[in-house]
Amino acid sequence: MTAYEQSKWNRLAALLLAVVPGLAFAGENPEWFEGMQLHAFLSQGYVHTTHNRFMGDSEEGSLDFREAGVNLSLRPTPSWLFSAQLLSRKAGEMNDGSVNLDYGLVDFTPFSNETWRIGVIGGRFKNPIGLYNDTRDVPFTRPSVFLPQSIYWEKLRDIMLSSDGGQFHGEFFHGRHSLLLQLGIGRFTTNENLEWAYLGNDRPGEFENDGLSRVGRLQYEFEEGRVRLALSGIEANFRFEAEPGLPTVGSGKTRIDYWVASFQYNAERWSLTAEYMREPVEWQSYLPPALNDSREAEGYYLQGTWRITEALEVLLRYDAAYLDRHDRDGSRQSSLSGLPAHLYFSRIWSLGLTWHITSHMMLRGQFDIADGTAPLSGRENPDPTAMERHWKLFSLLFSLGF
Amino acid sequence: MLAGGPLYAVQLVVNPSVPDTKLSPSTVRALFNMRLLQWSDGTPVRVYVLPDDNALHRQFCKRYLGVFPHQLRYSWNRRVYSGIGQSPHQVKNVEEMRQRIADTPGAIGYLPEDLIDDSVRAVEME
Repeated sequence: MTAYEQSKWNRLAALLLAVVPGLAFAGENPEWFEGMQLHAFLSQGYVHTTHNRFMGDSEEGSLDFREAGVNLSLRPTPSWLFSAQLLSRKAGEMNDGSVNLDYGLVDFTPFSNETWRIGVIGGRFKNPIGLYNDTRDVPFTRPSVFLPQSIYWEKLRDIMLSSDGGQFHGEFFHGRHSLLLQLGIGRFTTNENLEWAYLGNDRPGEFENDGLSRVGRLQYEFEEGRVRLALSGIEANFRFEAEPGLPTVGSGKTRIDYWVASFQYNAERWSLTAEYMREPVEWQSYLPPALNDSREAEGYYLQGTWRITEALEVLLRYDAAYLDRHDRDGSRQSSLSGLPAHLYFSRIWSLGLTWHITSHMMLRGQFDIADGTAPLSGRENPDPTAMERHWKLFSLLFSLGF
Repeated sequence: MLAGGPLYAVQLVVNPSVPDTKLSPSTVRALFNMRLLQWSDGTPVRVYVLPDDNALHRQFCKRYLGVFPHQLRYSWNRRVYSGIGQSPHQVKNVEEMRQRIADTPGAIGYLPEDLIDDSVRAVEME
């Protein structure tokens, strides 16, 4: 982190620290205006790994995992909503802590009654994928310190995050059943993390949207989420424009689809969650030609959480990810690339404990035992031959929010 | 009061200006899920709730909504932190709840039966 970034982060942190406790103790939603709401959160993580780097220099114990956000919404009439959230995220070498517009949108829902709601959104909206992506950077909306990497890859976070464009949404309710459909079209946010993830390194040139991408989710709920079923997907097109005059690096196109099927059952004391993902990726017209390939990544997890008391929650999860579902042990990809096979898969057991100290304060721990390194970013681990197949992770997260 | 159970049954209450006198179970669920945002005369709905761990809140969730507090919280958080909705106003205790409902046109919340006076109106669920 540069000194400039450091000071920028410090200023934001100081601001939030000054604002959060004041408002948290003064009352929930300041009533400056009946239709206006302000919410904010701040979290600091600690990550320690036995091998490999995740969220900074984790082999030595890293504090380079921080999230801070503040959002404001205004509902001048029941059919109009204006909302925006600023987010600062420091995630090892992957995000530098600079402040970004997480979302900024106008929602117009002209048709609304107790059986249906239909409306449109314009601006930057969160991509509705799976059960957690829409709020993935908000600590107390996640079940654990880190979301299951098989679906919510940290290194692919930036592609899944948000779109600049428009979205249609419709909600239908009948008795104890509800159906929610969201269909969006727009340009995805892009940055160097995508080059690392899809081209193997940060190449000289620009990885950018190639036309418009689409995102959507269809979700069924029984009894307000006692049972929740969802199908969501992305269809994204990117092109890499190489800097001219470099004969060894050529331009090309990458087409990414991303499909997630989700299931959740919520009882009073426990919840069971499972999601399954498929991601067909295709590389076209790149140089060297060896880059042009297609493969289908696959990932799934099964997660159980148990609320022992109102304040304490335990989590157990098994999470598996394969960069090519026809080469789950990575041997084919390894023989083509000459790199270790463990880069192409991961199987992770996670144990988590969450303590809701107050409704505004949370402390959470997560312990992972991992076989394989697929979720780890090449940007944080530039030498793949130095990575270890078997590794463990211990993390702590302290969060404030209101 | 927080540690033990509530002494009186929980009752749905509204600001006396609210035109609707009876509400169906699905309407009550839609109101507290923050997806039904106006009353039949067009007045904006203002929802008030107690904290998630409050015994009266839990009783209300169970009796009127048929959900657990953590389900409601998930749905509110998802709307608030993805920018597509707002959350209810959270009050500290039942006295503040009664005061806010009495003072705010379009307000809905819940109270123990013994705390209901002329400043608010009890509503039956059909």
